[in-house]
Amino acid sequence: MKQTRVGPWRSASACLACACAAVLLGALVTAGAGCGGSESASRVVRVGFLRNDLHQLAFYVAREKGFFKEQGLDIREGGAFNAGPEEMSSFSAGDLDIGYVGTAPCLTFAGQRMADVKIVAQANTGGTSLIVRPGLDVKEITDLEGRTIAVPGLSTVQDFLLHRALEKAGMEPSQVRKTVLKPPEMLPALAGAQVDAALAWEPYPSMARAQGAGRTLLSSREIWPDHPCCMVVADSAFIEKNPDAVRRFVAAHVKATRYIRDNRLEAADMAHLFTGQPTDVVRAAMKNIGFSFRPDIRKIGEYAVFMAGQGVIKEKNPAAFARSMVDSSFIPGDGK
Amino acid sequence: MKKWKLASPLAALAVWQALAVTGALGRATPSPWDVLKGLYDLAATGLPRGYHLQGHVAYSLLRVFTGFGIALVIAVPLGILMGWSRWFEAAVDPLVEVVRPVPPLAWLPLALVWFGLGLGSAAFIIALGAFFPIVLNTVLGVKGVDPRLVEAARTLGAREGTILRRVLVPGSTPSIITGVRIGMGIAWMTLVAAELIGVKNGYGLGYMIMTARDLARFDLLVAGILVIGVIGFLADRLIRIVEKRLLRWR
Amino acid sequence: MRAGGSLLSLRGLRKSFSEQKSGRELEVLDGIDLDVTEGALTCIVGPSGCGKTTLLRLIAGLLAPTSGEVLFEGVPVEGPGPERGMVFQEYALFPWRTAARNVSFGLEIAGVSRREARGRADGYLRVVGMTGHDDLYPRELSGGMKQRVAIARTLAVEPAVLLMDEPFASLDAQTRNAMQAFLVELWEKTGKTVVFVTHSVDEAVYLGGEIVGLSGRPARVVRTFANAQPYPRNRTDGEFIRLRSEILAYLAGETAGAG
Repeated sequence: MKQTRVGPWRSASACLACACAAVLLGALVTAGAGCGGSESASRVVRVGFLRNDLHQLAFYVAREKGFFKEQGLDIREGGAFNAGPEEMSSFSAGDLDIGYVGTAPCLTFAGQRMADVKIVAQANTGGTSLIVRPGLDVKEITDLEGRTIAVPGLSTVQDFLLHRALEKAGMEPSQVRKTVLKPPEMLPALAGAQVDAALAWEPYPSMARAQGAGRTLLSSREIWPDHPCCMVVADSAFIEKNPDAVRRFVAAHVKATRYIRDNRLEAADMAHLFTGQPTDVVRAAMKNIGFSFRPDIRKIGEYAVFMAGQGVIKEKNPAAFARSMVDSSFIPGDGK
Repeated sequence: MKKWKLASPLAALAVWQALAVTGALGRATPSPWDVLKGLYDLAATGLPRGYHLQGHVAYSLLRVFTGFGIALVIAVPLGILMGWSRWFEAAVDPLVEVVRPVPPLAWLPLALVWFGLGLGSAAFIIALGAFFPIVLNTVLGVKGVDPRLVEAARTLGAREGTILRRVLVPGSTPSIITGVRIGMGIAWMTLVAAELIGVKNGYGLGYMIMTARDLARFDLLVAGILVIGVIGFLADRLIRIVEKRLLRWR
Repeated sequence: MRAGGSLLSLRGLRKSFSEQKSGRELEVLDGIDLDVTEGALTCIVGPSGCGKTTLLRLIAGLLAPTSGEVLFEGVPVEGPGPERGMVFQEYALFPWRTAARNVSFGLEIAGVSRREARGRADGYLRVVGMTGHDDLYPRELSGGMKQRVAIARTLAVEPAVLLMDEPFASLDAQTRNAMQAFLVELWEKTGKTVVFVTHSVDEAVYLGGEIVGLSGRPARVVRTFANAQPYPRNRTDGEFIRLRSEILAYLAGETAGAG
C-alpha cells in the first residue's frame, strides 16, 4: 500500500473528527434516552426503607434472592430510616426514587404538598401491636386512661391505630397522654416505666415480649383487621422519567411478596438476618403480618378521611385524594 | 449608625419573601409570611393541638436551666481546684479528658435508662454538654492569673486559702464568664437535640419542631426554629449584661 | 535578736538556677554580704540582668537561697510576709479592686473590719497624695498614680522594710522625677527602712543614703558608696555629678573586668 506524506495527518484528523462526533452522538442519545425510555435508561434506583421493619421484608428478600438483579435493576440504599416522616422528608429533598413507608406518613406529606409520590404497590397489612409495660395491670384499653402511650411519630400508622382503638372503646384522645418515641427507645422506656404503653411495628412488640419489656394488649388485627400498613411509593418525577424501572421494581417486589407467603419458614430465617433478632422472636412476629401487594384503595381512603378530620391534611374530598394517590398500573398481571 | 445594623437582615428577609413568592425556594421552604402565620399558630392553637408555644418554651427553659445550673455548680469549684492545685489537676484531669470527647447526645440511651424520660435525662445530657467549656475556661482563668498578683498578696501577708479566695477567684472571673457563655450556647443546642429524641410530657421546643416535621408542616418547623434561635440569642445577651456588671473593672 | 544594729543582713548569699533545657547551673548571685541599717534609704544598683531583682526577691522571701542566709531581725527569712513589704515594677495592683480596696487588702486579710480598713486606707491614700481617687479602678489610673497606690497598699501593712524593685522604671521621665521626689518626702515623713533596686545610677544617687553597687552576673557587691548629700538633691550639683561618675566608673570597670 502506498502512503503519501500528507496522508497520515489527514487520516489522523479524520479519525479525531469521527471520534468527537461519536462522543457527541453518544451524549445526545444518552440525554435523549431519559425522554424516550430505551434499554439504555438508568437502572439505578435509590430506595428508602424503615430500619428493622419486618413489614418491609419483601425488599430484603427481593435483594437477597436477586429478584432486582433479575430485572436488571441496580438498587442503591437511599437510607434506612427510624420512622416514616423521616423517610418522607427524604422524598421531599429528592433523595429517594422509591421507598417502603407507612400509609399515614405518605399521605401526610403528600397532603401537605411536601412530597409528590404515588403508591405503586402495597407491602403488608397488620403487624402492629399495642404493648403495655410489665407490672401494669390493664385488661383493656379503657384501663389506659390517664396513662402515657408512645407512638413512633405523629401521623404514623401506629398513631392512627391508637386513635382508632380509642374510638372503638368510646374514649377521647385527650383521655390518654400521647408521646413520641422512636421504637428502639420504646423498649427501655417501657422497661423503666417511663411510658406505660407503646405502639410499634414488628419486630418490636415481639422483642418486647422476649425481653420482658412488655406484653401485648391489642394487636392491629383486633383494632382494624387487614388494615394496610406499609406501601411501596415512588417519586412522581421518577415515575415520569423512568416508568420502566418502576414496573420492574414492582415486579420484583411482587415476586418477593409471593415468595414470603409460600416459604414462610425460610423467609423467617431471612428476617432473622435482616433484623438481627433471634429466630423465635422473628417467627412470632411474622405471625402478625400479612404480606400483600395490591393496594387496598378503600382502606387507604379511610386513613385519608381520618386525617382530614384531624386537620392533618386539608382535602375537601379525602377519599378522592386517596384514590388519586394510588397507581396500580405497575402491578404485573393478575393475582392476589 | 444603629439603623444600618438592621439593613442587612431586612434585606435578606425581603429577598427571602420574593424568592418564596416566585416559587424558587422549592417545596419545603416557607416564606417569611408563612413563618409569621406559623408563629401565631404555635402560640394560639399549639402543636400538637393544645400544646401551646408558651408551654414548650417554659419546659425547654426549665430543662436547660436545670442542666446548666448543675453544670455550673460542679464545674466552677472543680475548675478552681484544678487550676489551683497541680496535684488535684493531675488526679482529675485524665477522667475529664476521657469523657470530654464523647458528644453529650451519645449518652442519651444510658441517660434514659438511668434517669427516665423526663427532666432528669434532659438535665443530665445538658449538664454534660455545658460542663466542659465551663471547667476548662475556669482552669485557664485560674492558671492565667498574673503570678505577680499572687506574689503581691503573699508579701501583704496572704496565706494559701486567702490567695485562693481573694486573688485567684476574682482574677479568673473573666475566663469563667467566657466559659459560662460558651457552656450556655452548648446547653441550648444540646437541649433541642435531646428533645428531638423524646420527652415525656409532650412539651419542649425540640419536640415541637419534630412534631412539625412529622406533620409535614414546614412553616411551623421554621417558626419553631426561629423561636429557638431567638431564645438562644437572648440568653447570650443576658449573660453579656451580667458580665458587664461583674467586670466593671476591665 | 539583731546583729549589730542592722535590721536586714545578707550573709554569703548565693543563688543559682538550673536552666530548664540544658540542666546547666546558672549562677546569679555569688556570695553577697550586706547589712542594711534601720531607717536608711539604701539603693542597690547594677547593670541590667545582674541579679538585682533576684536579690530583692530573696530578701522578700519569694525565693530561697542556694546557700547563705537572709536575716531579718536576726532571724532567717522563711517566706514572704508583711514585715518585708514589696513594691513591684509592674504595680501588681488587683485590677478588680478600687484604689481604696487595694490599699485595704492587707488590712482585710489581717482581720481588720471593713469600715476600719477603709478608714485606714483613706489615710494612706492621703499620705501618697491620692485622695479623691479612692473609688477608681486601676485601669482608670495613670502609671504614676498606680505606683502611688501600690506604695500606699504596702505601707498599710506597716512593714519594717520597704523593698522596691525598680518601681519607677515603667514611668516616663517627668513622672519618674516626680515620683523620686515623692519617695524622698515619704521616706522623710515615715522614716521607713527602704531597699531600692535600680539600674539607673542617676536615680540611685538621687535617692540613696547608701548605694550598693553590684557587678555583672554572677553578682557580687563591688563597693558600697556613702552618700551624705542633703535632701532634696540637685542633679546639677558638683558632688552629685562626681559621685555618679565614680559609681559609673567602678561599675564599668567591673563589667569590663568580667567577674
